Amino acid sequence: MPVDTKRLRGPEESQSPWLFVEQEQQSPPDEREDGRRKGQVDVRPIFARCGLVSQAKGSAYIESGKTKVICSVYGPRETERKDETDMKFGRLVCTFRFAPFSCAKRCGWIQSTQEKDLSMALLGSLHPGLCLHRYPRSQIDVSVLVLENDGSALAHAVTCASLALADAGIEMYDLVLGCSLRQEGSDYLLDPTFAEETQEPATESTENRGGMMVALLPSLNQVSGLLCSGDLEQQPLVEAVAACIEGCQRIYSVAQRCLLTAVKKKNPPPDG
Amino acid sequence: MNTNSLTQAPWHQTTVEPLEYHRKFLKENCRPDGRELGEFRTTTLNIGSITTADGSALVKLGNTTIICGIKGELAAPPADAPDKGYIVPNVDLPPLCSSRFRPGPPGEQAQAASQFIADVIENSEMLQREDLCIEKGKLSWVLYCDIICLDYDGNILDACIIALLASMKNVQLPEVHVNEQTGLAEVNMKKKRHLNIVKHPVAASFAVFDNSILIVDPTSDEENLSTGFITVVIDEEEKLCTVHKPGGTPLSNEKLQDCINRAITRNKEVCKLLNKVMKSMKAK
Repeated sequence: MPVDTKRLRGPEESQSPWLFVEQEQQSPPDEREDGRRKGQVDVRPIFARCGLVSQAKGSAYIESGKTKVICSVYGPRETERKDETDMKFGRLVCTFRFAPFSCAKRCGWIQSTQEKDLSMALLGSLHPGLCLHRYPRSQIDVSVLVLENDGSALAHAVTCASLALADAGIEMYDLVLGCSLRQEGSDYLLDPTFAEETQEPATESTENRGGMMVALLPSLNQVSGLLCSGDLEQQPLVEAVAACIEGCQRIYSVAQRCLLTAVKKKNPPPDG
Repeated sequence: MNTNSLTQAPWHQTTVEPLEYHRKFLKENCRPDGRELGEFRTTTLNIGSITTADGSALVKLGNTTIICGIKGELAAPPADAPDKGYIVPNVDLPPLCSSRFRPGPPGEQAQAASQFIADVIENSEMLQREDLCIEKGKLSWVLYCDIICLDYDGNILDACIIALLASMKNVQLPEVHVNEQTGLAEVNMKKKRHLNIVKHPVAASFAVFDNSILIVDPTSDEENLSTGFITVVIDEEEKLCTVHKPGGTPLSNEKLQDCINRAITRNKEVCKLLNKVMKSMKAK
């Protein structure tokens, strides 16, 4: 671990108290904890709000179950590094971070490799949705911070980032919505919570166990990002993608309503 | 002065000649957002929203939004103080909160804020570090207080202190015993207790304008135009914990006394708010 000289340091090593709790061996429950169904497209209800960071050009906050994600967009502004490609297209820079208190085990302040990987995934998912050719020689900065991680952090980050981009007035082809899924054997769990994402399997077999995240442009019905991990056979994989796409379509109306409210608040209709 | 006109203030006044714009208001003893010179912005407090943290608080001071999350971890106590635990505050000003901050390691302002918070915790003795010791020389708690700014509109030090205080009061740590035979810790997550917070320090920040006028709770624009800053931290027994004056315009004795008096009233306001929010949480 590199020594972080710019922050106040505590002890060299410290451990989370969760490591010392007696773990009761629990088999994964048959029912999902919050009452949603297995093998059905049941996403958690979403609370979305735009325009809450006064300093940012555009911002959005999403709460889904206990997962809380906030995003700010700054730009278009002058790009810091100039290459040839910038002359024709704008540059999109995404930063994805977990707050140190967002997971059960504390994350450090320095951006870990997982966060860098998720930043790249976020960039790849958002890129096709934006009209970057309209912003040559400019840079758009998207910063996502996960305040509490209760599963599907990246999927909600994608949705949050595209709401913030729309709130900032950046020209887009379509919103980009994200949905993730966890496959356990023959059933899938849509929009998994953190416990469901990390639970121990019931059986020893590793067949058909994995996770997936799909980023979709709903009205164009195009997939802009697909991340899959684990061991899935062809048929369950195809069904999982279809389920995620259906999940994204369900969120679409909530996202649209949130943007409408934000626009109406910014520009109230003239009286009379 | 018609302060409703501030929302439609001509662009050139706020951007090209901001100092003149502010001076016009100060002559009438008020500020562009309609506040008086000694008035704080509306403070809202939300406690315990982050369930993964042991204690959390979200503070909004006008537009400035700060979130503080405290996580407790276990570690061996320091070699020079085997009966004490650790409290590690850190303030982060991410590029999310304002366009003036760039991604990367914390800048000067964030580091200065972290050090300020550490000084306040130590000087005010709001928490005894001995309370954090589980077994002398073997095991103690480390409280990581991570403070993140979500929206930077000036006066983060005040908001950080309120957030820290509120989340400390919200922290619930599980009971830990050290097993004599194995030497390992045994944690009982079902039994939790609050921290023993003995003092309640509250900060009041002031900006000095034109070397003479003191305004309380500056916004980001007012901070940029000011010629000096001072932050006074007072606890509930009207005792002075910290005075932070990083250079800037020199202040006379009377002005300093004015600041201290204002900070005393601010402490009472904030403690009242804090008690109200804690009571409403217990009622749930």
